[in-house]
Amino acid sequence: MDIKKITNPVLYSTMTELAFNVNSQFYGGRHYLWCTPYFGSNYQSPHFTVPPSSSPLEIYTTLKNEIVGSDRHANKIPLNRVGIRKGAEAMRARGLITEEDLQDIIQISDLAQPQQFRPLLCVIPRENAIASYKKVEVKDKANPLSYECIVSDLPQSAFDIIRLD
Amino acid sequence: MNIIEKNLLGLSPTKARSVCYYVFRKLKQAKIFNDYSKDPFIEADSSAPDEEVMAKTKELIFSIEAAENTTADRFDDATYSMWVNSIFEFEKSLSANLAPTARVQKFLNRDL
Repeated sequence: MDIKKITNPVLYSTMTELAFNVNSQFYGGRHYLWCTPYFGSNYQSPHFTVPPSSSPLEIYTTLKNEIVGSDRHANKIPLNRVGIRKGAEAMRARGLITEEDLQDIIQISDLAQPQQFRPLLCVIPRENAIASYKKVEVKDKANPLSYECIVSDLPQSAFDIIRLD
Repeated sequence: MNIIEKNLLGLSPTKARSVCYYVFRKLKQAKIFNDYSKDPFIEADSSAPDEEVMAKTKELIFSIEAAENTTADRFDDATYSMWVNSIFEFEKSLSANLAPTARVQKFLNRDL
């Protein structure tokens, strides 16, 4: 949804440490984040209007479980590997990284150990997110109250990162 | 040649990787995309797929669902895992299997 319709003062997002490091080294510290104003501790509440899989807490917990190997149907880490490569392709297409960068990111995403996908909780002041916000394209026809938005090219200085260990 | 290879034959590695990403997303969140009417292609402007990628993604999802004789939101865990693993392995095979560069090694040894 349009971030300007979100009135909550803080947005949350969960990313992996590997994605954070790739963004820091190759993309000038600019981050691409799926955000929601709900941390997710109450994601089973009827008032929580994003899918459970979009809950930052749920994502955080899932990643942690995959790293320790306790999730039999683990797929978050493989999806993150693919997502990092897809993101690098997009950055290459925009001319923001070189072909050498792209190939290195692909190698990094292939070779990274599960522990390098440790989750990080990103806490983003709404006003900071708006400053970097381009256009939200998430359509939720069946659930117009679903509060999810994408913020791209967000500088590292615009948000805090927390580990819930 | 399996269903994935057959559907993605002739695509550039970049486009094939994009298709894998969107199919992966679609399978993973099939039920959610239905319940919330989310569009698996919708992301930021910069990563919006081109027509060929969208068409191939839909074709591959259709082929997978046809092979299983049901829609993705009804896949059981074993079926879901089998397809996700197949897509992941195919996507991984798109990368050249080269020795890591010094920069890659250094990156992988760093801490946050």
